[in-house]
Amino acid sequence: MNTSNNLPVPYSSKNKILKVGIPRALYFYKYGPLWVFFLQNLKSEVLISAPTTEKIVATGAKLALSELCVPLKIYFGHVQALIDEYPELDYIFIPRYVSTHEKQYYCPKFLILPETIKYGMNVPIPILTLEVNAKKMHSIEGAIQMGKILGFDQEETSQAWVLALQKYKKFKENMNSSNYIMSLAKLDSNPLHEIKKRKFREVIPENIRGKFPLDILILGHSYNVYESHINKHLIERLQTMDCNVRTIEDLNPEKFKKPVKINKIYEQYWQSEDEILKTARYYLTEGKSEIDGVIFLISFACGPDSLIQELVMRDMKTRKIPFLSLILDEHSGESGVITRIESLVDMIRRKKYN
Amino acid sequence: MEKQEMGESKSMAVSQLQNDSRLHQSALNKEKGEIINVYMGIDIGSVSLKILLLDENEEIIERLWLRNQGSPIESSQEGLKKLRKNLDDKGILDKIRIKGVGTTGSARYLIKSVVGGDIAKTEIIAHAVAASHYFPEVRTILEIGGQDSKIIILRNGIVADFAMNSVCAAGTGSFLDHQATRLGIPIEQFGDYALRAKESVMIAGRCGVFAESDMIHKAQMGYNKESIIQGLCDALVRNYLNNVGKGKEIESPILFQGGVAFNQGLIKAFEEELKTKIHVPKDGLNIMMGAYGAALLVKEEAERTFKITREWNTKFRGFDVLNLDFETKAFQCQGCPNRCEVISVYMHNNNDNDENKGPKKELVARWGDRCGKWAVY
Repeated sequence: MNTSNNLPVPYSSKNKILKVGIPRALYFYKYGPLWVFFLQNLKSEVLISAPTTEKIVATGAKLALSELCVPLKIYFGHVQALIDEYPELDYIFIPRYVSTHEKQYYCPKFLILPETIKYGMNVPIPILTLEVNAKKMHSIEGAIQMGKILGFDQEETSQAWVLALQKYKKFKENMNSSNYIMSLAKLDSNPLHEIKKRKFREVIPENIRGKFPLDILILGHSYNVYESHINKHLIERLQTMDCNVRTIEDLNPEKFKKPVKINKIYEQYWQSEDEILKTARYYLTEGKSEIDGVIFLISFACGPDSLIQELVMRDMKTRKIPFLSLILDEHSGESGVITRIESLVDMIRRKKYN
Repeated sequence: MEKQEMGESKSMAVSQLQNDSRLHQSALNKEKGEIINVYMGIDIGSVSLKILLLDENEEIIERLWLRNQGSPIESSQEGLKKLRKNLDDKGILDKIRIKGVGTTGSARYLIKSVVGGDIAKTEIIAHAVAASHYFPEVRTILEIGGQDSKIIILRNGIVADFAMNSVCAAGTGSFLDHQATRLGIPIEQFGDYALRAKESVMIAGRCGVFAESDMIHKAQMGYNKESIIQGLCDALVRNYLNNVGKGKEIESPILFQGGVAFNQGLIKAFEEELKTKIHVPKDGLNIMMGAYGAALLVKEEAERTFKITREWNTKFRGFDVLNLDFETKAFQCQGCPNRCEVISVYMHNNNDNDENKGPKKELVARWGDRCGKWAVY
């Protein structure tokens, strides 16, 4: 059976609507809408943990092992936040993403995420797992297994999954870098979790505002790029500096079809890194004129990122595209990030318009 | 105590440099009664405050350096007071018209709010602009200051790449200062000691803590101070090039800026490691480059704005800022679990004193909150 931490397993029935909590961390920023739609189709009430706060980060850092990467530490914090805010939950949804492509893997932390949480902290609520493993089975099989736990038969679950996939596809088509954070936030109906528009320091003098725009590409995992708390509101900050932000999500899916080859051994191994490389490839070649500079967001202690960052940096250098890598950890101060991005933006702007 | 003395001796060294008559030639050549339009650059870092005045021909009219005592607000007021006195001593105070103020350094936004600055730019841009103005051929800038170090790569006078040290301050001015104090050597003589060394000792420079224990260990083995200091310089250069300079195309001409560029031992170590000549801005300008850049940048901003709108008025509060009292208040916002520390800066205007209410109080800046609900910029 899928992970259930030896706690009694609640079933859905005509008179019981199950409450399922989703931690707002890691691949929530990528597949969150799909999970929400699927669970809703299975007649569950979906509750999402609050947007990351300093308290969530601190709790996560305390619960998790110190050598884990920051996004995973934050995940611990979000699970705790769910337990604290919604003790009445029937399940906490923790998916297991092994692979969505036969030849590739996700980072090991996604492979063992349910166990990491189950054994890493005290979770008094049963854990509900969806396994996505293209190496072993079709995604629908994983969905059916999960549906069974909730008391749905194969047909009901299959239908729920297919409809959720369709809705997710449509949802993603309407999403781009500028509405991504807000679109995701809308999945959460708790008014206390509302993300308010933030005021930033105006660094561009009024008389030239909007006159010297730049296009900046942000590379990195979705859980770094759209996690405003950790990246110090990078996207919004760049926007106040008259920069049009582009991310992996803005790129036409067609561009992801052709594989990236680095050498014979290193071919499409890490799935998210593959996306980053494909995006970099596009902007190094046919999309070169669409961007003025690149920021690579890396979480501290991320192995694959440290490798890919170096590869991307070297390529950007040969093509003379300004490149900045920002390494984020739970202690990063705001001023360090601000100084670096202000310098980058000023540097590019002076080069482009002076 | 010892540290304070060092600070004073350093500022004495700097004020001697200021007396270099060449610098004020253009100002003094002005005819009597003629107004001198100037742009002010203020560089406020972790250790010191630098102010520099530039006239419309981009000649340096006045400059000063002082150790950051206590808060940046007090330091900036102290700096302006000294500046006014210096200008008065030269008899040009009433001819000076400050047309713009640019700030840079880690407290740039605070000082911009306090003195009434027109622009606040990062240290990277300020240093780069100053360097390419001072030495147009420059291709690499090495900058080591009080608590940070950076590298800037310029190509054709334009910043092409840069890097800054991360959280670790090993190998910056503060660390050298500390080691000098520990060895009982005035920081100004640190370089001379290194140059006198007959051999260099291998010191672990990866981390300041390890470097210190390694230095103690080497001293206990019997090495003399000179060799240990030379070893430390070599270690710092290795550390700098491996961390800050990692992956950067360091090409000559190279300009070495910041307070640490006073250290002859480090210059020599850089030259040996990079096998090329290291240039240092003359007349102690190496520590003024940030302020120099900020002044150039505000001049550029003023001219550009004037070109577009036919209008430019500086936000500088004038030397009246010395009659103002600034007060900061901090509180922890209880609005959400983030518990942000919010800082407010209030200005008391002693010239605008109401008998009943006391001096007029005005909020000039408030920040520190993540959501921006308190923010006043």
